[in-house]
Amino acid sequence: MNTDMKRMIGRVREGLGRLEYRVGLFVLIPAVVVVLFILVKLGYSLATSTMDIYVKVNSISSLKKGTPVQIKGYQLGRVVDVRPLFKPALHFIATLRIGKDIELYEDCAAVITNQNVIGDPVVELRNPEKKGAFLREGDVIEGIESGSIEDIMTKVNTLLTEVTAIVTLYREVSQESRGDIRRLVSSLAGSIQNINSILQNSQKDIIDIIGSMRKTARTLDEVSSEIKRNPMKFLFSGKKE
Amino acid sequence: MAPLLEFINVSCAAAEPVEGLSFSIGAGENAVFFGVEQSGLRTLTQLMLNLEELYSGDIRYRGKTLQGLDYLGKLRYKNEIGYVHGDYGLISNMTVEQNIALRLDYYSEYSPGEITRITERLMGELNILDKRKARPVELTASQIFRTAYGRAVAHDPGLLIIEHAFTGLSPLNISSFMDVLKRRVESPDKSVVFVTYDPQKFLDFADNFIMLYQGRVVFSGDRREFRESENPYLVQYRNVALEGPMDIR
Amino acid sequence: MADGQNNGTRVGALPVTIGAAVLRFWDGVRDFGAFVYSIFQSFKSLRFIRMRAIYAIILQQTKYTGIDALPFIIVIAMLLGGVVIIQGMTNLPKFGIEGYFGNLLVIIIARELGPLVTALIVISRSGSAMATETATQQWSKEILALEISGIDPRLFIVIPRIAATILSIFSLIIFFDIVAFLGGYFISLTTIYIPLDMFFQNLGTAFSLKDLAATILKSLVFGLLIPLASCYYGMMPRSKFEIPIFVSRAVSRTLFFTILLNAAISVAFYFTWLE
Repeated sequence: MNTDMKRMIGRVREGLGRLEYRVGLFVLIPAVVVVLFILVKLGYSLATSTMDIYVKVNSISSLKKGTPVQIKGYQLGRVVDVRPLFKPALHFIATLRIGKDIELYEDCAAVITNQNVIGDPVVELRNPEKKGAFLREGDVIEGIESGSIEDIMTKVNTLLTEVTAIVTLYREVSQESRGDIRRLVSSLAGSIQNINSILQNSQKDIIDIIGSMRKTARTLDEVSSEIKRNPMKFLFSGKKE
Repeated sequence: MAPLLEFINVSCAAAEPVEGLSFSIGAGENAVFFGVEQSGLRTLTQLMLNLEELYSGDIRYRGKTLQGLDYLGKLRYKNEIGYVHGDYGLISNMTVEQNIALRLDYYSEYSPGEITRITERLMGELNILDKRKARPVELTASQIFRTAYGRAVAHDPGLLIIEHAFTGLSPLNISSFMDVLKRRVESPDKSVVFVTYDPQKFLDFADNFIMLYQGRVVFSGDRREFRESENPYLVQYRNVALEGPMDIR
Repeated sequence: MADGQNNGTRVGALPVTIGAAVLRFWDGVRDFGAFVYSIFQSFKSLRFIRMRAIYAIILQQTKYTGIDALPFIIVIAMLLGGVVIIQGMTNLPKFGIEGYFGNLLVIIIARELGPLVTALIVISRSGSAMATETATQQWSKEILALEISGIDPRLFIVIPRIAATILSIFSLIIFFDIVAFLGGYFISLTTIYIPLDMFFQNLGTAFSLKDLAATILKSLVFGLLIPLASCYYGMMPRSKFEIPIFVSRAVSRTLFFTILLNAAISVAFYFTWLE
């Protein structure tokens, strides 16, 4: 004990104590940083089955916390955070927490779209044609907004409202032709379903969707103008065939 | 009992070759090796320190040969001996105290407290206690020599070899050191070997005087013989004469 | 005969020169190998010695090599981190830049610049100092005195310096990386806003365990090479006149082999490992 004390005092007197302290800190700080890093790294990859990736978007009109993330209609995860970035110009970064079980590639795109005409938004991930490196935790991908689709949807909605109004009018006009009206309504519902299925299935080609939407809208325009011009003929022409 | 250090017909073809060296130094005996430059003193020291390994004949320390020692055997031998040389070779970034304690710190089983006691006692004996925190650059020549001596005897070796150690020191400082040296020289089981150009300095200490010339022993005798012998080599050396059997250049 | 020799010198001058250079190089490698072997040999006496003697030297050397170099490293890391980010900002397309900052820093700083610049600083500060110190100790017979004291100079001089240099380089690289990342982040803030947590999450993702393994391996290799080569050349001089020659040789060759080994490790880690 006595010699130990002496030794300690001797060392402190020589400045070795101070030196030991400094060298200890110098070596320990990086060692702790590295150990923590390894623990976090190992723990993170072992403990979680999800990863966070970022999507850069220009506006968040449809994107909010909880928006589902899908690939080919299969739900992978959800948007957990959306925050604005002010430089270089105002834009937004959405954090997507998605499962690791599906292979995604670095160059994949995130299309922000509506999963049905009712207007529920969804982030649809799409793998590129050419497969490169895997998408990893923390990667940033570009968000593509299909704003035009939304416009068309609005148009279709307006149109449908109009059609419904006309149909209601005609229900009052002709009680007998109710069955035919029902047929029209159901055929309209079928066409809406078609639109939906087009939206869901033909994601590969947005232009096609837009084209078919336009076509549908045109047809509906024609139908409605025909009904306006000659409602009776229109209603009963189907019966003849 | 086997002598402390024994050379049996040792020949070595080094830069300063030696041939057929045979002598023995008993425990407690002190010897002086002297001669002119290039007489083989250097090689002799190297051989005693086991730094020169290519030689014929046999060198024995306490009856055991030094020939073909392995790594650890060499270390053990070096731990049995002490050595002070003219260049001193103090570790320049260590203090006097650290230099003296070096070997103890490194090898011995002493506790730090015991090491401090030993070094303090040595520094006290050598009159350098006030310089314990000084580095070699702050010391005078004789203080450096005293520190080197302290380092060489810190582990209390059986054999101490002092080679050309007093060069560059003032005679007065040497005399004050001689008192310290005397205590070691007089102890019955410790031997000191001096390798020097100036054997007269050690007249009071040494039991054997051995003179080398061209790598061979040309004179060997005790104190009285050293003073009185008519050996022509010795006479020439004693008289500092240029005329004689030795060719001095 | 003389004629033939002349002819030989003229015709065979180039092969002879190359051959001599190769032989010299090979001799050097063998000699260095023997030196390294003798250091391994000196481990035999490890069990006899008290660690306290070596411990003090390791502390001192770590202070000189590591702590004293820290301010230097911090300034250089900050500048280099900033430069990398500025170059990245001006040369990378703005597209998706937030995602690439982390990767850019990790690739350039953590994988290459950090270990290499640290090694270069350690060579210029401590490698040269070690070579000079050893050479001076050799010349002033301190090494001889150690040897005769039964203290293996390799164990006493080289081993603590290896330990200290490995510790120092490793710590310095980590400090370098941290400072460079932070410096890079703050400089990038002037042009583009990235939230701190996102930046570090990004960085953490980009910095893989493989990068860490490469960093540790590099600090081990450099930490071995620098003191070994410095002390090897430091023990070479046989006269005062030769000290500057061998010190300069120690520094230049350590530099060369450090860059070579850095490239070799990078190739081994990031080239052949490609999936």
